Amino acid sequence: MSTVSNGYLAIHPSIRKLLHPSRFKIHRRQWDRAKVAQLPIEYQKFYTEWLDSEEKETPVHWIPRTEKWDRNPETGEVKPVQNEPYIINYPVEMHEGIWGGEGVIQGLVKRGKWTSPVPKYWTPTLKRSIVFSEILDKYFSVVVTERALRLIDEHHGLDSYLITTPAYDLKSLLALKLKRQMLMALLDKNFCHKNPTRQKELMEKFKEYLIPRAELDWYGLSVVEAVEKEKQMKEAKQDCTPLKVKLRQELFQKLKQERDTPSDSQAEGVSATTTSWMSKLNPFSKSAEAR
Amino acid sequence: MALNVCRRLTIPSIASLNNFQQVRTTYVVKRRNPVGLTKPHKFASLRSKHFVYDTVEDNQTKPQKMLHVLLRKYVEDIGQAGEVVPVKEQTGRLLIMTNRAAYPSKENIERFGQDVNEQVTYSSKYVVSTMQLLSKFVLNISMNKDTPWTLEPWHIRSSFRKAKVHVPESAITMPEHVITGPDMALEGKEFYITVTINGKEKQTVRCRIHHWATNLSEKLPRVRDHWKFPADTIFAEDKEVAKTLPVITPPVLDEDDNFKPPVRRSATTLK
Repeated sequence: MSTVSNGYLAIHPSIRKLLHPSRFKIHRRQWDRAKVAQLPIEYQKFYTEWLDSEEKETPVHWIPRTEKWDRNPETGEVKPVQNEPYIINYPVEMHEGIWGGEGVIQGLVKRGKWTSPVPKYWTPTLKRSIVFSEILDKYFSVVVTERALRLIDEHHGLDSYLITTPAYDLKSLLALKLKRQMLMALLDKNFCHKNPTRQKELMEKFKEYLIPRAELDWYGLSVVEAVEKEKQMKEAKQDCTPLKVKLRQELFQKLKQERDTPSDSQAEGVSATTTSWMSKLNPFSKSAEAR
Repeated sequence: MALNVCRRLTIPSIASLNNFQQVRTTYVVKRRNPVGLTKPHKFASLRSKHFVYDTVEDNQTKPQKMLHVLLRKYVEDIGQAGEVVPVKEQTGRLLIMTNRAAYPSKENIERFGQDVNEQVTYSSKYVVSTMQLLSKFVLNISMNKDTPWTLEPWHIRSSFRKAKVHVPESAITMPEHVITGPDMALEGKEFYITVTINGKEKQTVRCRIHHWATNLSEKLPRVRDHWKFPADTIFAEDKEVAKTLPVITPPVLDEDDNFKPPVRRSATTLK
């Protein structure tokens, strides 16, 4: 369900095609964007799914209006309904837990008619709880919200919740990294070794959600981690040995060959060339011969 | 003793999961001043008045929802194996974590259907907790000190009723020997009866006879906390039966408590 009806999505698709795409570019997270543009396409795909598809997000802290049009009761004027999304902050601590898409709302509260609005933060209630993953066969003690636990219950388990929910709803890096591990295990068939029938069932269940391995390598990485990975991969490809080492080795080999194969004909030839070369340079030798 | 009671009051009772009722869920807010219409391919012009929010859903006090779970094993007071029962969220999650239950999906019902049939079944979900309660029970049977009597099932039924346990007479099995009185040799001594629950499960219960007189002067002296200390059996062969029941461990007393464990006077000293 699209929650953003203004801007990009408000325009009719036929008109949207005609307009230049740079009109709809959101200039947010500029520094990240410059780095992401240089990273491989696999990571760019993940990044757009994670942070750049805000119109697809399920609203957690606000209720969008479902009706298309709204009539003013006094004037009878009909206007379209636009759902302007609420700005929600996601602190760094979110990446260390599974919050189920919750965040911190920063806003104002007006408590009386004659009082000025006062700032207020609506923060989620966090608690530490234990969740179990069947594919990884592990119990995790993580910081969660009640909403996250309820979502896990609705999906009948942590595996199903993480694998079926897209990155823009999961948001936290911990959840995305667990998801990556699960998908990796599914690709490698590296789970449920004791119970092969159960392994088959799970493979069948999550068949649609599998991602190709090239994309999975870049899945669930933050921008900093992705840049670091790219750097390491480049370094591994490059041959960083200095040129003087190479040349020295070449020379050594050449000299060795000469030493090991000192045939008479070669030695003679060398001496002949040296004399001729010397005779060209040295004028006195010539004169000496002439005398 | 008073200190002990105070200590007990301060300890939170974590044993029952029903104490944790509240849950704190998500906040939902709404703009007090709606945002005006925006043209396509332009951002909404948000002013400070558009950030004045009203709280639609508060997260402070919300009752817990009920979670339906499929039981894989018999769980005390909740249900039998193979049943789908509604429980509180926290209880349900605990059961699922400890492999005593699963989410009631079609897949799970197929998976755990075979295991369920092999389980031991009880006649009711409250049977085990009832049996536990009865095994720790010390039933006081007050009999007349003056008029002669022989012990019958209805005596035991009425003394159970005094202890707020309702037992029909048909469920009570008396000991093999007949007990008659009044006899001061029986005072404060144990014998065992069997209670049949739902005509299936059987549980032996400790009973102690106490002689009671209406006249104040003839009453026996009060013995404090006599049920917390072990006592002798009336019949010698009952000692083996006593071993099957949980042992009565006397309480640890405070240093400042000058309470002495009960010492029953023998019949000769009473006279």
